[in-house]
Amino acid sequence: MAQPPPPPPPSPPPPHAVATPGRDAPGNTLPARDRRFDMQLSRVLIWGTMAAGAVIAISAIVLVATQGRSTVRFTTFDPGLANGQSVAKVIHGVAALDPRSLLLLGVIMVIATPVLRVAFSLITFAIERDRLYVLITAVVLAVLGYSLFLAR
Amino acid sequence: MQLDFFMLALFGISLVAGCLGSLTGLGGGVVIIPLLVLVFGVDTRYAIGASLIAVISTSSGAAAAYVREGYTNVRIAMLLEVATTVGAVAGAAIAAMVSSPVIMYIFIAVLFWSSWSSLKESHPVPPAESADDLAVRLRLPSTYPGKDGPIAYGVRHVPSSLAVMFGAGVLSALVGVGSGVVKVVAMDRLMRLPFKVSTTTSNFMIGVTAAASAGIYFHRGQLDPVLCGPVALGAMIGSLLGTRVLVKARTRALRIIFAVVVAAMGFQLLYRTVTGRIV
Repeated sequence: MAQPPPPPPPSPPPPHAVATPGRDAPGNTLPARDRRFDMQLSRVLIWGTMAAGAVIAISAIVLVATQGRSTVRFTTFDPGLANGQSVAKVIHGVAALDPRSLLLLGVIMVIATPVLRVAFSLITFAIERDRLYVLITAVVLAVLGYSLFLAR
Repeated sequence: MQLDFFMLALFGISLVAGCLGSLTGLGGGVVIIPLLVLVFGVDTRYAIGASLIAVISTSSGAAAAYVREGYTNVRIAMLLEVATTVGAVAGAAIAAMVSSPVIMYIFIAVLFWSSWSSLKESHPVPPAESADDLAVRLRLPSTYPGKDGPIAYGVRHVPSSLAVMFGAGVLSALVGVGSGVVKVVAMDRLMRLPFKVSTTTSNFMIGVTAAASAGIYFHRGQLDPVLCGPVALGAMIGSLLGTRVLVKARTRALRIIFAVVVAAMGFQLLYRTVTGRIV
């Protein structure tokens, strides 16, 4: 008499599975904390993007209103700017209310948003005492800092 | 060209590009560079700078929406960003050493690859159920929201993914795109992440990668405000429309049209570069 084959053993959940939907056991606060972290991160990205967008929109309108009839050409790369552009120059232009510098400030804000996001993550990992990810995030931030302030 | 018309046209084109880019998953960069070069005759170096800014603004806008939904794996993103940002700095250094036509040929190859990968039927690799030791030690495996609560997933092949991501960073900086096609190789094929996790995490990383090279291009004077401003704003609003309003639209037909348009622009750029009209 043939024995019916034994039912396949239920596949064990992966060891890393967080199988606590709907209930947070005491001491297992990671999912909720991660969730809150996600929300704050999302807010950083939204506000950064909105602020940059607002600055660009306003300064673009000012530029068009004041210099709309002027002619622009981008068919050849202007090497005059090649070694001279810096955040300090842009801020100087913004102080003088130059619309192009204002527009460039908005563009710098676009670049700064992801950088801000990385800095925010660094702080969050530090609060969580997640040393490994503080280190990893610090490396990313260092590379970004090098690119924004030192590299040519 | 008159400034007011030029800026308005750039805004309109970037709006459409950002919208279609986020809708089809190809990203805005693959359309913005050809349009700037072919329609407005913009120098390749300015076009790459403007495209990088568009890439960052679409990534931040879309990432905000995705992070909220809980699909993005921030630890994986941060780990891989070490490789992509170092790659981006290397790519920007290489860009200073090679001529514009060489960069254009690489970009054309990216266009054809993007077009092809979006047209072909995808055979998704099943997500990993187990995780490699290294991935567990790095605490990369996580969960994503499913219908009946969180679904756990594993992560594989961390070292080779880091190597591919370094390449993605180099490419992103060199030709000014998000290089989503390369990131998919690492996250879908090697790490074997679930589709939603890999697409949202990849999108999340694109902004940081592009910021690393954009900083360098800023110092080189390749970010012109008149070009970058309207392109950033248009791409930002366009991608927001793409991810939020049109999320329920049927995208298969749109993907095919978009892929054909991208390929056609690739041929046009190839013709112009070969005949020496792009220098």
